[in-house]
Amino acid sequence: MVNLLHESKRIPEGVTDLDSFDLAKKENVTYTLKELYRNNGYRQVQTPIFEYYDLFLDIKGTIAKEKMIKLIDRDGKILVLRPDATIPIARMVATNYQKQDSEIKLSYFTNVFRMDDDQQGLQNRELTQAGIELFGKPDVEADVEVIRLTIKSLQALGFRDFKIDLGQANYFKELMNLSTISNEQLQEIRNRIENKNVSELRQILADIEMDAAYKEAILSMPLLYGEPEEVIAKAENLALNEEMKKELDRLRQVYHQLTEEGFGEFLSIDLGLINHLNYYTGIIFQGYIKNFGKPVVVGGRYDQLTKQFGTNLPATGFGFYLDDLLAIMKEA
Amino acid sequence: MSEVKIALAKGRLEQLTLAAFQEIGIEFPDFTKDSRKLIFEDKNHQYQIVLVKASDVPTYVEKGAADIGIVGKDTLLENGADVFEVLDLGFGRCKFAVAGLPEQKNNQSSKLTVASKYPKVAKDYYHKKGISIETIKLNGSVELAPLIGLSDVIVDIVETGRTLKENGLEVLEDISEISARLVVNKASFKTKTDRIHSLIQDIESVIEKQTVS
Repeated sequence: MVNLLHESKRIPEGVTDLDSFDLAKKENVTYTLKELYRNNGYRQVQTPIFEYYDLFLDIKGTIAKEKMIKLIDRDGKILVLRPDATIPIARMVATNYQKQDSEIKLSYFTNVFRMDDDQQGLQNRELTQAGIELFGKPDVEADVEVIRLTIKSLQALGFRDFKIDLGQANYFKELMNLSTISNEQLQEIRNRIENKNVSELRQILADIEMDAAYKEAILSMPLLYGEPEEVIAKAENLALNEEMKKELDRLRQVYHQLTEEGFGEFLSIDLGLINHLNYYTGIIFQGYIKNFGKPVVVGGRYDQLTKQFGTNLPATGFGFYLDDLLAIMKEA
Repeated sequence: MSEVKIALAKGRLEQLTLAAFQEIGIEFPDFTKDSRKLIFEDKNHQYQIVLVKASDVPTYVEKGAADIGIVGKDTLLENGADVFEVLDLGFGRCKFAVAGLPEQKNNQSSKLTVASKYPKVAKDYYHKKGISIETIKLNGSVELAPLIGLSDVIVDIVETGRTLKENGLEVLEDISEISARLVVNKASFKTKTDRIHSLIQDIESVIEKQTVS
């Protein structure tokens, strides 16, 4: 007879126990990355496991409200389990580091909690993220440093077959600034660009009155991927103003610098990459490992985020999904 | 070199997809109508087709169990998936529509009940119109629902409209056009670039030829 375990003695969906063997592996990976980030001048920080719901609600373009796991405080205020690593660190830096004359380099190894409601039920609700944030440097050098460290992280963990896909959030933002498209239409357009759905994008644009050159530029967005030099040249022809060219030039500089350092083989460009976390403002990127279906690292520049906490610090960084890395290592 | 895995929706899209592959020189010799096999390899061992239930195709592709999927837009709309939807294949055309008894047109009841195999599509459509509805999820013979008073209307795929007509129902509103789509796993798109991109281009040229002729 099957021995039925009472519900209260099981663990909830979407969380997991780690046995000593798996935990040792996880600690190893963590140790490797900690060493790497420390040697590059990043100091580890930690933020509280729960914070006010309003913090995440008030910030434009953050995690969807229904994905946050909520608790009620003694005074009736709503708290959430840390749904994202970057926003609390930006809050911490903006409110605690008064001296803003130099760069601030921080790393984190932390769990985030999300109600990831998948079609077949719940996915992991507790995820371990590892990453860095670099505050105070607006220049291309900082973008290069962060992407270089992403590649070095993967190399340090023994991965060889991976791609870092670079995008430029501002290219699209500048393009949309030129238009009078409504927010609903913009959302529809974003969505089609992100999914490379050219045929439906064409249908949507057919119903909107706008300049032909402008339409062509939007329609080309999903196709601006592949061999970096070609893509940048194509995008330059489509650029409608100096701002767009400037943003593109920044991407070119980052790409050239990293190629000169010998990282070219790991890079591809996709200007249709417009991450749904809208706090990103410049160079953004996602890293993929061959034969694994999801990005294992997501990062980019988010110069506007600290403004929402009353300071003005440019910033860039990345976060690895540590559990996914471990799953890939386990299969190999 | 590893094969490119293609998840194909069982049913009406099977033959149409195979024909498109044949046109670009990819053949699956083992694939016959009455075979019970679920995995097929092409002659040159470059591609592998896995036959799965239509509603599972987005899952296979999103999770990376297959690199590419071929599935109707109806399934993508209902199930939603984080994949690249790169091609409208142009075949398997039909539409989503609201259907019901003819007298339903003038019925302005306060709360509409909608039976459907596609409750999400139904909800999205009515929410956009600002109408709140109650959905009833059915798994087949949806046409029955309005006839026996289970729902006011249905939301379903309409190809020729024959089934509706024979049951005394008619299309009340069109929702959206549907056709077969080629979807690609986002990571495969980035890490197996050359092979996947050339496959997409080949298929695209076949479709273009068909739409011109």
